[in-house]
Amino acid sequence: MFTQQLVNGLMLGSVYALIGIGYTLVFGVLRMLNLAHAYIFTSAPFITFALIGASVSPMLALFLGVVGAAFLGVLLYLVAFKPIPPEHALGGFVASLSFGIIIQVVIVNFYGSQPKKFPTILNLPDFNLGNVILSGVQIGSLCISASLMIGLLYLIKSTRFGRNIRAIAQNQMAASLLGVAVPAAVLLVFFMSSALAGLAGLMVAMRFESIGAFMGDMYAIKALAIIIIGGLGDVRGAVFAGLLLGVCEVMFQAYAPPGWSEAFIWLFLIGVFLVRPEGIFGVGIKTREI
Amino acid sequence: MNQKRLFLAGLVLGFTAVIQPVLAQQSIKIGVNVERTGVASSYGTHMLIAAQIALDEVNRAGGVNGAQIEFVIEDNRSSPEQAVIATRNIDRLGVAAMLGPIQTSQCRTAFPAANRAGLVSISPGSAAPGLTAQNRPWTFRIAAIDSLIVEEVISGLKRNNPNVKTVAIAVDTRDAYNQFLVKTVAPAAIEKSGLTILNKDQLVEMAPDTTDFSVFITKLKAMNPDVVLLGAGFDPAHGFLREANRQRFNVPMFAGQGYITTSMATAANDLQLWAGQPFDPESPEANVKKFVAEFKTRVEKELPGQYVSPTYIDASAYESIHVLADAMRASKITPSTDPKLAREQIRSYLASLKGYQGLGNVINMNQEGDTVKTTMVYRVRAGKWVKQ
Amino acid sequence: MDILLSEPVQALVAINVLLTLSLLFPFAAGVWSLGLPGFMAVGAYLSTWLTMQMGWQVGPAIAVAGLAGAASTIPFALLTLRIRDIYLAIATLAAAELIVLFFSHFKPTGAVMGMTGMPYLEVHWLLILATGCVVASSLLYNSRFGKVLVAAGSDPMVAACHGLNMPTFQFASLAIGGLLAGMAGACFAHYYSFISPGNFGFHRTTDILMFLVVGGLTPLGAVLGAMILTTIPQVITSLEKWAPAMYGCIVLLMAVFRPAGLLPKNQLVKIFVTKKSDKNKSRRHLVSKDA
Repeated sequence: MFTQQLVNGLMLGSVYALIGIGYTLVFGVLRMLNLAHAYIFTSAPFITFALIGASVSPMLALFLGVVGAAFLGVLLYLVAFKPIPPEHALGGFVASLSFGIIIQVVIVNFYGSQPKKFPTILNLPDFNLGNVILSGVQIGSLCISASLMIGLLYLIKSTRFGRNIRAIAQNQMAASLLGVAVPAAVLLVFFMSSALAGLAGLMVAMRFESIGAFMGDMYAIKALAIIIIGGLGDVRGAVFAGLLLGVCEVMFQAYAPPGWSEAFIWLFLIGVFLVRPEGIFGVGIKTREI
Repeated sequence: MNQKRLFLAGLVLGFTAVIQPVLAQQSIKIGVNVERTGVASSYGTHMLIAAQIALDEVNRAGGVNGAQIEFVIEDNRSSPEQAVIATRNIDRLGVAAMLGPIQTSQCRTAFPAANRAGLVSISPGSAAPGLTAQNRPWTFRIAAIDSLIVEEVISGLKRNNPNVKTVAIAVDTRDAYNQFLVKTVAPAAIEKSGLTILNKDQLVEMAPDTTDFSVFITKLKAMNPDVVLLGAGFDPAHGFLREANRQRFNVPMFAGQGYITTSMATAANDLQLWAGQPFDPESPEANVKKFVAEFKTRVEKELPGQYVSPTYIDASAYESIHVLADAMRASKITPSTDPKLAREQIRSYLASLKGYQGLGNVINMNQEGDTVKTTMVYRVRAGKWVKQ
Repeated sequence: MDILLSEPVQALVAINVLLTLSLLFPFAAGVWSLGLPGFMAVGAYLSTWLTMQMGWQVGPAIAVAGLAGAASTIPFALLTLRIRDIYLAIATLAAAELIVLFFSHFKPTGAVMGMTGMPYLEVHWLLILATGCVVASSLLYNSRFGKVLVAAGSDPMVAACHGLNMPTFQFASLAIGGLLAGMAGACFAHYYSFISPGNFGFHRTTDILMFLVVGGLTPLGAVLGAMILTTIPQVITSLEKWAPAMYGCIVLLMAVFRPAGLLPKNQLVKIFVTKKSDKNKSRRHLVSKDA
């Protein structure tokens, strides 16, 4: 039973982590929060759903769902973030939020506001280990998420591109002077972060076999909290905090009195802040100097 | 010759252009305060179609006292604040009555406003306790009363499973409807039928944004109940049922309103899920068959890919329009009737509505402004709702 | 223009103006507080309890609700001592969520089922209150106190070097925000005759934030943003199901083309500054403030 919860928690946590990595990467290079992220998460399963409906092969539809989300992210950057100067972070919030709302309205107008059944694409068997039932989709998602997270951490830490992103996150002007192609890097970051969000959305869709125009809302606000806890700008933070909090949420739901599972994430966040204001792995924003 | 024809054509066009607005004024208006956009837009768009079917039927049959009726549609955007704005807009246009809103959260703000304005209103969907009682005398509901439905559902469940004795309850922490259902309405009905609630003080509470229900299924399993009362919101219920299937948690379950949809049955699959509603889309009665067929045609045309069989909300909306038409006929209301007078006459007609033949059901209005209808009990069998 | 005569629209504009002003003061002072729904909820529930259980008149209930709103900013103020900017925004959001969660489980106020039956508040009172707050806010903003507040927001380091006690001003800005939000909550409760935790969700924050950003970080900007964005949805209803998308487009365009808002601070100053400043316009910084 505990193992079951642990696996469920890791699954939830890896979804949060993938979404959180996207937020954190964008924040690192732009110093703005992308409030359309949750809607890009939602758009991928619908793109896949639409393609399957148009008789596209399911595997190709999955791939195109992720790619579609990625390009949507690039469009978002070009329309909502690029035109806004960095000192107007609030403008970026509102612009991205509006973009996200437009995406949601489009989905609602074509598919309605109720959840729809997402077709079973991969007929993976369940694994029975004693009284623990692990769905094949769950295991597959965990494997993919794990490899992605490891891959991304490696990318950020050891590749040139990763160094570029970190350089931009630390000091954009200096990075640009030192030869980093900032605009291209930022575009690529948006592409990657949106692809991750799209992938997370598809994993959720396949796990629960359900998609809805409002499915992103519940993940969005939690993922936001999680990356703050992990520290904005740091991928390790998003991964760590995401997994930790996913597991905690499930544990609280299982063992704590009702209402606490909703409250704990906020309490934890405030607690972390009082102790370590920049978040666990935070970089980039200093604490108050006065 | 051409000039003359042109002149005549111009005259006719001009005449019709003038006549149209004059003719248009000669119709009786009914306001529709509906969730056309926002989180409840699926309910709203489907309900509108159902109401439109009734409207067209009335108009085709000659209208009311020689005049056609038309809708004034206001989108309340699934927002309580907007619902009040919509009510006022509708009121200002001198409508004879208002249909909607559907959802409780919109009714909670719109109904007091309608009552203050003396605008007779009917909600086809809200089940909020005391909604109409608190907003007398102008507001009504042609929807469904929970306490009656739950009693019938439990009876049906017991008939099919005579040996059940215990009930475990799971509920959404933030869903007002389900909280009231499991804490107030259902316990009375459950105890009345001789069953015992295992976890009355320790309800299995599920956060509304739960995506993973395995925890709760496990908790329920541990209590070893014979029956489960599922007080989950519409969306989470799907997840709960799927998880119950996965964990092969095969006890009979029952729930409140709004569950009788195709998607819920699919999610329930082989589980024995029970629910009730005052409408049976598969009723053999002629008017029901006609309505269901017409509903399907129109939904497939106007909302492609979103067809689901009509729910009690759609049926109630259809019935409400016909009831309003009858009220207007009986009170000899015409487009030139003063709206205030028209509303008062409709109100008194509704208040004393008895034995009205609806869609496969008989409607009686009670003192609080709620309609009492017979309940149809359903259970899921192999992924489909089957009437019992 | 019939829209402007519509009482519920006027009421909503009034409430939104109050809420936007309540967000303005902290933000102008550099405190990114998103605690708005929490303070609003406190004001709404407290005023309802006062009018329904204690038999108070609506007026005094609103006043007390405002004070309660201001008082509930104290824990938030403590947060500002440690954190800034986005971190503070999310932390205050968390704290507000906790307040609303509390009300979701608090049985005496109906928990999730909410409370109804409050005495009705006429629209003209709402308008009077809103106008009064706009006037007061403008006076405050343009007073010495207000200028200090804005200075603190623009560059806390410099302000501190001038001998200003930063925490005091930041607490004050939060308290003013809490006062306005508390009153707005009380007005909301008594105009709509029904409140439940669902009215105080994150969507409230995002809506008001949009008004503030589109309008600009000044009192008149806040009012303008609230008025325009509250009335736009009322006039685009002919688009039916595409109306919300149009609203999104309008806000997007406004945020992109005028990210500082319609009436940002120093707007009037800009008009009078000579052409010398145009040379500086082309210098687009890529660097953010900390380096």
